[in-house]
Amino acid sequence: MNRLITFSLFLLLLFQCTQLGLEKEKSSGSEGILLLLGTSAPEGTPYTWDLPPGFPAPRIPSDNPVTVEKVELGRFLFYDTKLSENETQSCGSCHKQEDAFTDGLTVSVGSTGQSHPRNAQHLSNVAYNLRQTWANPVLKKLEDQARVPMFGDNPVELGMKDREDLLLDRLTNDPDYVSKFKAAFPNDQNPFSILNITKALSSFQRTFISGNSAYDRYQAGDFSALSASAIRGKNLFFGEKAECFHCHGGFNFTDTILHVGTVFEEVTFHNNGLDSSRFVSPNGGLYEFTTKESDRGKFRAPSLRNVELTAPYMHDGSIPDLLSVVNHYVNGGTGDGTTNPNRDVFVRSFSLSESEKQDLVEFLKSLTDTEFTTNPKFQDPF
Amino acid sequence: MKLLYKSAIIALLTAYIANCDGQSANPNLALLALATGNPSGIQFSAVVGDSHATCEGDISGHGDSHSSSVVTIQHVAGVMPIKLKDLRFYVSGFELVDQDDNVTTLDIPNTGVWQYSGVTLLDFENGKGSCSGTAETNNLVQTSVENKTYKTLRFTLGIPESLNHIDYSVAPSPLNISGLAWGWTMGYRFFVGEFISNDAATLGNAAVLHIGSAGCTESSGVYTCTNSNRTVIELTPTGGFNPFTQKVQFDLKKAVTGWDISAGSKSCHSMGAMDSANCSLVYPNFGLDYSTGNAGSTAQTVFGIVSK
Repeated sequence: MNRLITFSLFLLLLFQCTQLGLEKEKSSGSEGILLLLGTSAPEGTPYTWDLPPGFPAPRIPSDNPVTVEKVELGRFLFYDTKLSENETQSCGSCHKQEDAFTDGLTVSVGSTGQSHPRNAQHLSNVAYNLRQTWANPVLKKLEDQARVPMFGDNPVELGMKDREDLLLDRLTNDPDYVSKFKAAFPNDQNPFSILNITKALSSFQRTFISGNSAYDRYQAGDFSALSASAIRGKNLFFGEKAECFHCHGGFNFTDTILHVGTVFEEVTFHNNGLDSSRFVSPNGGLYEFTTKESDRGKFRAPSLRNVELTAPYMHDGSIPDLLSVVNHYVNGGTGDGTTNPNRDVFVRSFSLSESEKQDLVEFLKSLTDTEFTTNPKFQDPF
Repeated sequence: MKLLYKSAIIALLTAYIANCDGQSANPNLALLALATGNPSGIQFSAVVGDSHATCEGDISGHGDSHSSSVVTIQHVAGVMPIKLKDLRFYVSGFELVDQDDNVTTLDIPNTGVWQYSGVTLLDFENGKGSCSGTAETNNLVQTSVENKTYKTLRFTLGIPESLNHIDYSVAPSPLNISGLAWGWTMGYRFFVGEFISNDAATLGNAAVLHIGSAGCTESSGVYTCTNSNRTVIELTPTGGFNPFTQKVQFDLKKAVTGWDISAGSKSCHSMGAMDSANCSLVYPNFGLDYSTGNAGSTAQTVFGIVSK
């Protein structure tokens, strides 16, 4: 009996001390010591921003300063199919550089073949986004957003839910990653963690600065950069006739912006007059979070940079080309969207000649930045 | 020789009581637990009707009796064989009420694995067979309990709001599991229950039920959720509840009563109004009103007390 009890206790001890294997998430102890000293150890080589004229410095989360090493690690992770359970997809599968990091599909398709309800966002200048994704008011940081495609199951994107250990094992067993993680997170005893993966991915994405389009060159004084048609379109865009700039203004052509000088974080979502059939589950927009009927169909106005490359348009990819988008707004909406009570006040019908519509499209095309879409720094390293 | 065994037992017990993370427990209770062969606490079990909830093999025999040998109407509450995919949930806020209405709030120690800050993860899937979660399982809320009969057991299905929006990637276990984290809302899923039909006529049709706080917005780091979706489970069985001889039983069949997956999959992700059609059918099973996220007019039916 005594032997049995002793043996049972041994088993009990073994069982009790079995860890879930998720303790890998713990950060190293050195940070605590450094906090006590009131200093922080250098975390690699600070990244030097090469910002276009008129671009403010992006606001970077204090716990994840951008370093050359994190950006490099993030570039590999971004394009690595190890991040999907079945190793068929990476972040880059739905965010292709040649399309300004969108995928050209109406809605994206995940690694298991499940369709996403939304059109993939482009990633030009994401460092300045006040919120990520189309209509989520609580996803503030890219670090938080990264977990959604990795671990989400509604829909399944990369399909890594409950597979943290598998992912970390894959990376830990790759000698290239051992050195890259160590370099990116030199203060961590064990740099392999989900948190560090999201930190590296975010750091890489924050370097996606696009500010060298024909429009930018025109603004910098090269008046030959825009055609006469594009200049007329620019005047329409920023003028009181079309009033596009209200939602697509500023250096990033959107109305929500975050940079070092941001004092008031104004988070706005708009109903842009699409037919109400576009706003049913699971595409209710802000309504999904607030459950207020007045928020149905409200989405974030995306940056129009590289908009020529990011077709099809809208949260559900329901508008195929730029001229159709212009027509949608000239009409004050589409279908019953023209009378939707939630419709933004700036979405109202106005008259534009066919040539003016073409001018507007020409201007939008002038926001294309081929340096951005061909920059070797953003390319797939594999 | 006997002395040696005694020393060994004492040494091992001490190690057990210290419990890997320095948490101490009442040694008398530990001895009592030893006598019953269980660590001290509130034990749980999970069934689907009359069958155990298991990941390996079909779960059948959870149907209602039929006079005909041919079953024509198939639905979750019927007799179709199903395969469990996931069954995990967080519980917290345990209270025991004795016969004199004295309320004892149970102390839930941090164990480093299944319990943190008063929250316990109960995990009935082992990642095998049709399940795709984690290999580890847990059916015990580890806490000091007395060998006596109480009138009522009370607990909350969910994570307190104070912990519901912490960063799960750096949170202590069991609040760091991607299958229970709800990244889209920066919160947690309190309850995850999923299965698929393995009946030829309805093969692969799924039932997916995820419960968590909804309608959450954030301002200056403070979250407010319009729908808490936490249910307080109160169990007052005839003859009372003795944690030494009885356990809490969860019935997945009762949880999805109201859903028919014979014509297609059913899912509830608790995404507010977007999800109301399916959620409002099954939330009352948990004693919740889906529209408010608070207690509804009907009592919960998913938890009960049974003998160990």
